[in-house]
Amino acid sequence: MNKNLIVILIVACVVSVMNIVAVVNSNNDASFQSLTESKVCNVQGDFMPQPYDDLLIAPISPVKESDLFCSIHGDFMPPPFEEREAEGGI
Amino acid sequence: MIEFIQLYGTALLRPLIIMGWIFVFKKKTTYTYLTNFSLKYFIGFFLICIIWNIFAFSFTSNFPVARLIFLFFWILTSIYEFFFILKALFLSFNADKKHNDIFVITLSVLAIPVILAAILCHTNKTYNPVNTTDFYNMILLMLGTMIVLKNLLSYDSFMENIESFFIYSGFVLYFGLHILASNVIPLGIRQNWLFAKYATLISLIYWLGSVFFIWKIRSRLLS
Repeated sequence: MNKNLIVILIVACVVSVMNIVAVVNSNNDASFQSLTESKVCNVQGDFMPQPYDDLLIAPISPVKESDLFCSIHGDFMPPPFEEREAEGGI
Repeated sequence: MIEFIQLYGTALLRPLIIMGWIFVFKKKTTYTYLTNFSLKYFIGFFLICIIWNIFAFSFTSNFPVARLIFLFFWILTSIYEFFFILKALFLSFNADKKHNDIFVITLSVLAIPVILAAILCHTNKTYNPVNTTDFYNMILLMLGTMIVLKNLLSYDSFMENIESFFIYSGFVLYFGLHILASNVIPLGIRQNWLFAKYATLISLIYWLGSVFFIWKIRSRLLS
């Protein structure tokens, strides 16, 4: 019998068990990540269902220092924005 | 415009891609067994997604029904993806009909967490189970697709499988980007909350562009 196929079967079994354990334990986690993921669906698909409890948690970050710097590809980066400029006021 | 692309971009691209790949499929008459399988089931994958979108669009105002439809099609798509990649993996390892038992057992083992997650999601009213399972599924599917690609590239008749190459490289992109999309919080990219939408959009653009490349490569080979 092809040993590659046996390896595939073993990997599928191990990951499935890990998956089931993670799914069963996912509700016991009290972290921010767990709370957010429990409300909003983030899987594959074109049209996501409505969040549970009508509580859409789409975190809005305040302006961070890293937002003021350009970090795209290129050899010479442009100068950073002034913090006041980034906040929208001069 | 950006909002329109975010909402309907992926749904509008799917029919275009399916037409492009049907054009590729009809253009040539002889394919290797793996490429023939890949093309047929790839088009089937897009058909399921289009039907999913039609149902999702029809029940947008009825949230509980929309959720049930979403979970049903999520199960269907996930198991179909496992079937597709697993079958391609078996074919690339030259497995024959006597290995059908292993194939069925492996597919059943992989389907258990998917169904369990959807049931728990519905009963516990939380998306945690499906989000967790989708993450594990994406890792497995990406690894499987990478092995299929490795086997494809090692064939002597690579040019005969050029369509399969574009299909599976697109899947690596799709699964890889969705792994990132399911970790927007741990990776600190919370501001990119719609990453999953963009992940699908990028993969769809790749598959659409592949039609042009396949057509160009084939016409150059024939001339």
